[in-house]
Amino acid sequence: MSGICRARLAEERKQWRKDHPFGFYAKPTKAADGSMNLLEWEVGIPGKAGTPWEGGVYKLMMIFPEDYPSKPPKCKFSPPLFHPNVYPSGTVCLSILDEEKSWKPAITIKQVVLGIQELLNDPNINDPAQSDAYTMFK
Amino acid sequence: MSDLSDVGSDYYDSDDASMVDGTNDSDFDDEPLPQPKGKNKIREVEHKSYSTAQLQGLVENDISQVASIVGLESPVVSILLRHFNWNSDRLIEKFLDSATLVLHDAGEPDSASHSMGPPPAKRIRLDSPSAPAQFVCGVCCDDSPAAVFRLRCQHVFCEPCWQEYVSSKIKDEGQCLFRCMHDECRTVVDGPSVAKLVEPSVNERYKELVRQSYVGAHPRLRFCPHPGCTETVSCSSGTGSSLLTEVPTVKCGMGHVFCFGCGMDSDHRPLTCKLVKTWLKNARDDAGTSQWIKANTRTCPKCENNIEKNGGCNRILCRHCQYQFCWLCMKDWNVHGYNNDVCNVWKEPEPDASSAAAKQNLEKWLFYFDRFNNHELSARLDEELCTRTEEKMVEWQERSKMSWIESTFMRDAVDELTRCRSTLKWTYAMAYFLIAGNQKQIFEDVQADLEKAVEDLSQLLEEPVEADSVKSIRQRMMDKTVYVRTRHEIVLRDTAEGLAEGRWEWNTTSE
Repeated sequence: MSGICRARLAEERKQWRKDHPFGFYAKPTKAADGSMNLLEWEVGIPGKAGTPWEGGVYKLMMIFPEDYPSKPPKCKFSPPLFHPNVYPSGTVCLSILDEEKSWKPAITIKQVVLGIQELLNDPNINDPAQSDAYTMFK
Repeated sequence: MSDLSDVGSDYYDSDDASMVDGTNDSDFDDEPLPQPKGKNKIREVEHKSYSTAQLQGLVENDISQVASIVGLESPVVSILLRHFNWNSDRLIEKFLDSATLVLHDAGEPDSASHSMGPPPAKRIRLDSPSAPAQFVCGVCCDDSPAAVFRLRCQHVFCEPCWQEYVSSKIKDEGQCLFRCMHDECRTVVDGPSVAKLVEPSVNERYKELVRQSYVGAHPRLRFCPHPGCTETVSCSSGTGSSLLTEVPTVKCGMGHVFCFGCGMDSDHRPLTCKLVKTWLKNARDDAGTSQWIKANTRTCPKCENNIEKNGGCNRILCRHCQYQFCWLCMKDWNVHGYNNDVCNVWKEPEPDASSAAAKQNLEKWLFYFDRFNNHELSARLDEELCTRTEEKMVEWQERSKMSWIESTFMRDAVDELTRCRSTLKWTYAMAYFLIAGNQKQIFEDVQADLEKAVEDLSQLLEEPVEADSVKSIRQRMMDKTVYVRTRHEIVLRDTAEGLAEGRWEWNTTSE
C-alpha cells in the first residue's frame, strides 16, 4: 500500500533530519523535473574509526519497493564495493535486508545504515555474495 | 521374440478363461487355460484419500491431541508443532523436559501462556482508539490511528500496518510462520490473529499453507499432483527401499491416478520410480539431439566424433583428430586422394567393433523410445477419434432405441485403451533396462500379447460405425475390451510380482 510506504518514508526523512548518526548522510533523490523521489535515497556510510575503512564515505543507493515497509529496501553500493557480502552489482547481502530472514517492518533506516556500517569490517563468512573478496578474506 | 511363448504361457495365461471371447480373436487362446489360483487381483498398495476438510481435521486433531497433553491453547500448540516440523512426539518429549526452553525457542513471549492456566485476558485484544496518548505506530508513523492491534507479545502497531504485513507474508511469500513486526521480537503471529486481521480469502490461504506444511512434514502424505485437485492421499508404502520392489500407484478421491513414490501424475507401472527417472532423463537429453545427430551427421572413422557437413567438397578434415577422409566412402583421404580413385563403387562397409557398439546402443534406445512415444501419441489420437465418434453416437441414440448406457461402449474401449497404452509405454522403457535373457523374453511375450490385443482394439475403433452395423461393432468391441482388460491385468500382475520377487535383472543400477 503506497499510502503506508510514503507516509513512513516521509516520517523517516523527518526523523533523520532531527537526528542521525555522525558522519552519515541520507536523502531522497531528485527526479529529472526536480521533484523529490522518496522511493530512492542516496546514503553515505562512513568507515568506522580504527578499521581499514576509516576515512572513507561509501555511497549507497537505497531503493524502496511500493510495499515498503512490509518488504525491505534494496541497498546497493555505487560504485560496487570489494567485500564478501556485497554482490558484484553492489547489492548488499545482509540478513536484516532479507524479507525471508530478519527483515521486520519496524526496522528504521537508521538501523539499516548502522547495520551496513557494522558489516563493512565484520563480514558474514557464511553468506558470501562475491567469490573474489570471499576467497581472499578466507 | 515369441519363440519361447510356450515357456511363459503356463504362468501368465492363468485367467484368460474369464474373458468374454469374441468372434475374431480366437488366435489368442489356442490352448486350454488353467483356472486362476486365487491370485487374479492385482496387488494394490493400501491408500486413503482425504478431502481438504478431512485434511484440516487431521491437522486439528494433531493439534488438539498435543494441546491436551501440554496444556496450552491450540493456536500456540499449532505454532509449536510447525516449529517442530509437526513431530508431536519430539515436541511433547522436549516440552516435558523443559517447557520454558521449548517456548523460548519457538519465540513465545516469556510472560504469556506457558502456565497451565487460562490465557491472559489481554492475549488477543483490539485496543480501542484510546491507546496511550503519545502512541506512534512504529511502521507507518501514524500518531492517531483509527485502530491498533496488540499481539500476545504486547507489541502494538496500527491495524492497517498489521493487515498489510500479514497479507504480504501470506500472499506474496507464502509463509505460515512469520514473526511480530517489532524488529527484535520473535513471537509468531498466531492463527486467530491472522483470522482477525486479514480478509477471509487470505485466511483461507493461510490455512492452506499450514496444511501444506503438515503434508510436507509427513512422508506418508502426498497432495494429488493433478492440476487443480485438492485431494491428499495417505499411503503406508511408497518410501525408501520398498520403491525398488513395487510401484505404489494410488488414486485420489477425485479419481486421479498418480504414483505415490515419485509424485508423477500418471500411472507409470510397471517400471519403478528410479528407472522412470533415468528413462525420462535419457529421453530429455537424447530425444531431440540423438535423432538429429543420427540423421544429420556422420562419425569420424578414426575418433568417432560427430561431424555435420554443411557445405564444401567431400574432403573432410576432422577438427578433433585431424584425420582426413572422404565424406562419401568414409575412407582415409590419403588412400583415396584427389582424382586417382573416385568412390563410385558400392562396397559393403567393414564392421567396426567399437563404432558398431555405440551405434547399436543408440539404435536400441531409439527402438524403445520410438515405441514409447508411439503409444503416447496413439493415446492422444484415440482420444480424438472417440470424441468424434461419440458425437455420432449421441445422434444415433436420439434416432434409434439405444440407451445411453449402451452407447458408452466406445468410451469404455478408449478408456481401457488409454490405460493399456500407458502401461505399454512404460513396458518399453522397462524392456530397455532389462538384461537380455529368459526373463526378458517371457516379459516380452506378455508384452507382445497385450500389444497385439491393443492393436486389434485400436483397429476396431477405426472401423466406420454406421447405423446398421452398430450392433455388431458394439458386440465385438465390448468383447475385445474385456479381452484387452484381461491381458492388461496379466501384464500388471506379472511385472508387479517380478518386482516383488526381484525376478528382473536390470542393466543399470536401480539402488
